[in-house]
Amino acid sequence: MRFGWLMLATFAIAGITLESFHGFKTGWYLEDAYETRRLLFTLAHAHGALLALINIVFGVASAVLGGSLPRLLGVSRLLLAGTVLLPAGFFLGGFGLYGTDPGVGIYLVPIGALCVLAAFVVAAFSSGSPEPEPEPLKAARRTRGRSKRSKR
Amino acid sequence: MAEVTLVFAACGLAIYVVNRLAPGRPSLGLSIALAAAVAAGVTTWEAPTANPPPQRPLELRDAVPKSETEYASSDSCLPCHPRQHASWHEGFHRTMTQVATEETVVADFGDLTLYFDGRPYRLFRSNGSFRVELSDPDMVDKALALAQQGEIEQAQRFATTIPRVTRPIVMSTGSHHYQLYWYPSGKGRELYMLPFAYLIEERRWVPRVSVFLTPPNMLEPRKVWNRDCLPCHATGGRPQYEPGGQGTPDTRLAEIGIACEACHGPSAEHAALNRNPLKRYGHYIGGEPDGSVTQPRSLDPVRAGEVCGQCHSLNTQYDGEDWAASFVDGTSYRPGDDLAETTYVVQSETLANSPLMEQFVRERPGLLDEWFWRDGEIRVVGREYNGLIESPCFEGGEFSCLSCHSIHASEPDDRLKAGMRGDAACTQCHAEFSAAPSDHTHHDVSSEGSRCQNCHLPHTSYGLLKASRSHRVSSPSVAVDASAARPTACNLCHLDRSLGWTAKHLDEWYGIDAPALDEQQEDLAAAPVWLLRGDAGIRALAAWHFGWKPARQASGADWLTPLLAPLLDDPYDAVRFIAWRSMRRLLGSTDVNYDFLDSSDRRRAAAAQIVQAWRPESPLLPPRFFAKDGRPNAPLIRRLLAERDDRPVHLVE
Repeated sequence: MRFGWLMLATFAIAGITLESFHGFKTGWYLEDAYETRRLLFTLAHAHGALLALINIVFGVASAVLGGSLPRLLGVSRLLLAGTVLLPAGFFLGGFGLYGTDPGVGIYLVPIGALCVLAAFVVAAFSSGSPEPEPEPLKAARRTRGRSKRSKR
Repeated sequence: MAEVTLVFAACGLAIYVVNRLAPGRPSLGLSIALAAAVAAGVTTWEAPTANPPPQRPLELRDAVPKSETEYASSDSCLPCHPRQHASWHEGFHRTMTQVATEETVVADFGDLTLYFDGRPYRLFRSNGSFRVELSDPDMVDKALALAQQGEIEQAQRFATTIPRVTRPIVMSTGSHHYQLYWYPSGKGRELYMLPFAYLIEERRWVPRVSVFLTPPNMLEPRKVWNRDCLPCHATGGRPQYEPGGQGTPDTRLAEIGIACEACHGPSAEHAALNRNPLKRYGHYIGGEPDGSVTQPRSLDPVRAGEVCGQCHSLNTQYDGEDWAASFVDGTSYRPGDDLAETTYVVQSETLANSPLMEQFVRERPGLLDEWFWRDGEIRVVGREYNGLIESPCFEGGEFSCLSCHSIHASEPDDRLKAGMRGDAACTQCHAEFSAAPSDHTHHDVSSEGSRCQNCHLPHTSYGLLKASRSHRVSSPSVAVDASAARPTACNLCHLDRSLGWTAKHLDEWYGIDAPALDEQQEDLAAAPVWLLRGDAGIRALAAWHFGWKPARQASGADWLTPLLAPLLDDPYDAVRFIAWRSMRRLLGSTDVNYDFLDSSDRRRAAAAQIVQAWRPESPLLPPRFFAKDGRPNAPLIRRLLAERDDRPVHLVE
């Protein structure tokens, strides 16, 4: 939760900074030649703010709805990684442009995106699920599964 | 959009697979691995080539690109090179040839009838397209051929039977100075030129022969786009005639107009390779150039110049076999190649290298005069590469078109790089003259006489109804210019000075020996002599300089009017056009009603009216051309006009 709020504050500052670039007509941000940089910084700001909100929502949801603790912890770490890597990739990609291609920092984006994606997938299967089953029940379910397959 | 859909599909699949493998107990590692694998696959997957872009040439007749595997079209360049695409898009190379549409046609097609060679051409619009109703062009050609064979009566009888036909206007050439139009001949994909041009600035139709320096009443062969224009006014063209230019052409080309691949070479492979971001970044990080496309800027200056020279030169093939084959597959030159391997750039001293060109010259002895001054310097625009390779600067191996020009970092007009319109074009190499230019020029530093190009690249080339800068870097020399029958740079600005005056100054300032001159050359102002007595090409250049601001400033303007007036009735349409344009600059606003295509009587009357109304404002008139009371020396003017060089001049731009 705290991380989410801090990130939201960070990207609010980033948004103000981008606005000020427009206000002061900053050449290396607004000129046609830097259209890619402008796009990347905007993407960094938008993704950062959105992911910060998702962190907060995740914190609230997991507190209210509960779920498997190890899984929630995994989701939290993946979300933290994605929230840092994805906007950082967009931001760093805005430097060292190769023509219309972003700088090499852009390679953080797919890594961050995969973290976020994985977080969503794991969260989907974790949220609201009961505490881990006792081992005997787990073994019994496995046996039932095997007998069904052998009948087929 | 397709990529986004794929990513979502990949995620859905990953979740589904995880769920199937372990219902209720999805494996975190497996989920991540699957998602990563599928996402990586999507990222590195190369999308198939997009559909051919719109605006393919002659698309109305199911044309396909020259080679599906070779050319990609400028649309493929846009996603990665938007700035370069934009700078090319705003220029005149792209619009050299265009499909005729409401957006591209600048001329008036509001149901009007124009006459050429006594035949009516009705221009009109129908259902959103442009059309011309004309006498069947092939039958007209047949009638002309009969007349040329002396079968006059038969030709006249035949001419009365020629039917009227209606053809669509499908394509245009030019968008800067004037625009020409093309209609289907009816034979395959062949296009004929409408015999009229539309002058863009003047907003009027004129006969096409009037915009070229063409002897009056000269019969020009019919202009056929596939043969005459395709090689340089389209990208990746193949005329697909039979060898030698016969038969019904099935012309193909990669892109209409002069597009990216005309200078960068075919780039379908380059576009395909670089769709993969990993490969792109491999090049970026490795610092290795992408060898799949030609980058003229990265070529050595000689090869870089050849990229422009493939079109901006007077060139042909080496032998008849290559020439005949060029009507089938076009040129095999590709940017970055050695131009000399496939193309002979015509130079008077190397004619022996091309048996084909030698043969052309044997068949028409005055042929080279259509392009060159007598010393071999090119005298028409559009062939600047010929001037470049004959420049002393070129011998150093560092000088090329790209020294001063850039397609992408320049204004569309002339495509000069920033600053290159001025002295920087020369001082970037000849820095020794930039500190104290007046020491070298002997003119005030702010004077036009101190501008490098006015002396070393004077306006001695002709084309597009104006004088243009020579592209052979040279120094003024009365002797050299006189032997080439070419105006000397100094006297194109100092219109009131004689060749003797120029020779004396060149001798004093630069040690250039003064040649022996006759009395007239010693005493008479040279520019008026060129204006009144020169051949049509020289008259056109002189008439243009009479309206050139630096010349008017250096020489005084008011005395020019009565000397220019006789050219308003010059036998050449183009000379009259240029003379009237200069005259308007001299007169400012005028109520004289003049049209360069009017009858000779009306033209003479307008010229007389101008001379009659003229009064000298300055006592500084060139002696001998004016009496002491300021009246023009009519006998001298008449004598020079009587001595006019009336040999036919045909300059082929």
